[in-house]
Amino acid sequence: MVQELICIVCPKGCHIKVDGENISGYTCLRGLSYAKQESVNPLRTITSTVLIEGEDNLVCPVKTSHEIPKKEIFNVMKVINKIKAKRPIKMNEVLIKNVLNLGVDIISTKEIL
Amino acid sequence: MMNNKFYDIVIVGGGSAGLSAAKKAFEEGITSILIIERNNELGGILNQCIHNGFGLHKFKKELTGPEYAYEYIKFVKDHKIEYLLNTLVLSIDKNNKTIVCSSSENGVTSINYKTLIFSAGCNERTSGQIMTPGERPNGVYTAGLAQKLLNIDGYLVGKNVYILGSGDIGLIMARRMKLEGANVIGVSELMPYSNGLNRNIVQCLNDYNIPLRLHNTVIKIHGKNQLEGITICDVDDSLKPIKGREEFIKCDTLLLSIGLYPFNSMLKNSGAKVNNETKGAWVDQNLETSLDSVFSCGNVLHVHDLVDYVSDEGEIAGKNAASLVKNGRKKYSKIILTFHNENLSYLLPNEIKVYDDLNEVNFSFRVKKPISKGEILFKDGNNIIKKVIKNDLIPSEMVRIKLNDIDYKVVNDLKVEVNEL
Repeated sequence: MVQELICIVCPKGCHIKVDGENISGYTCLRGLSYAKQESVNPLRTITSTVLIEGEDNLVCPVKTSHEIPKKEIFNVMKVINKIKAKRPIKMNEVLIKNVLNLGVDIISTKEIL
Repeated sequence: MMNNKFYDIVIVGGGSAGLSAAKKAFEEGITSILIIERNNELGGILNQCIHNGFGLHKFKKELTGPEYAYEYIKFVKDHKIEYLLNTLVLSIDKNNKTIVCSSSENGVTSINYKTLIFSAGCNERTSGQIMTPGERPNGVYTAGLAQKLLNIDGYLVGKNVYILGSGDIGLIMARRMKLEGANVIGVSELMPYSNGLNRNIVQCLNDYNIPLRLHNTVIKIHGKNQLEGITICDVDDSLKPIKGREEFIKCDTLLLSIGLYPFNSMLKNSGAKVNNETKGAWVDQNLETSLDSVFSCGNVLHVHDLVDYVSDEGEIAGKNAASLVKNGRKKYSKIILTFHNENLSYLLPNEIKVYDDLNEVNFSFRVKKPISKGEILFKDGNNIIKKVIKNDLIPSEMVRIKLNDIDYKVVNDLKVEVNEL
């Protein structure tokens, strides 16, 4: 079965065809590895925010330190929405270690001193 | 009080364009720099763009908006470049090279500049600007405002959301609100093609099974105090609603992602010539406006789709402002005006000042409609100076071409044509 993908690695959005071992339409190596991965187990980086202790209208942006399987997105979101970060928050500080045993951390993406 | 302080370079707006201009000017040896920012932090719109995908060109890695901004903010702080927060620039006096600004901390003050870099960003189009019929209840937000409320303040504006317009902010917000538990019902786009990047259609809509309706729009807003629903309808080729194709959709929130426009009113009011196609300033290849020693860059000049390109433009403005400070005004032999054919919606720069040492000009433009196989011609009269073949040109992606191998001294006027092959 031929799978048609639109590459999301960069804004260019190449149209890639995956037919088993046969992959065509990519224009860079990152695109090739995206297509290989996407056709077997799609991965995504998740970005969100976490609450901050003592703050009513300020949240801290976070991301997964690496990509996670697409099917785990909403499970990870549940964990992200449970915690509160403590100021001061350093850039790329680990806020949740090894979330759901996926081998990925939730890290801050902003310095909030 | 800091009345009538003087700086070599004053930068209006501490977002991606202004920060990049400051960094470049500092690297070029200018230390007398002041950044004026109206918000309570530097970084501009990047602070609320918490998604990733920034910096692939500039930093060769994938960053979120706040991380991208941090790369510049850190430079500004490490090198002690001066900046004012919570400060609004009120007016520019081009004759005395003075700006007036106000803040609750310092009151109304004026600041003198040798050069000014205007990098104030852009605004979102609102419902008033597209005149959607119906009532005016709570629950109708521009996508960027909803993004600010959610990603900085931590406030989800609604539970059942519909989105009008397939601009990137709308697509990003569709995913973002879905992740936070909202029911995102769908996205309508008036045009027969999406206005957002392909990758955003895939990872924001397709990933979450959010339908995109092309050639469709909102024709009525319902609800007296709070939004109760909308009527959407397919449109024909002339973009008029087709009778019998209406559909009522129950929702409490309507997000508008219907375009951005340069926040250029202050520069315009100061007498700067305006480019009627971009609504930003008229600029030469150095990004200098028609006002002496005043430069413009970033989204206030023309709306970008990639922040990396905004930073590049900030660098051009920063470098040329620094050069003007260091070397004074150079002489130029003539001015070449630029033109374009009907397939472009705009072209920058508007004019090229032929300085003795001119060797490269950065052109930016957008096509009006998708062109799958295109040729880009740079012409002087009927004479083709340069030809570039480019495929998959779409209105939502700005095209940039650097021309450095032509002799501008012999060019009379310069026309850029894009033709479908």
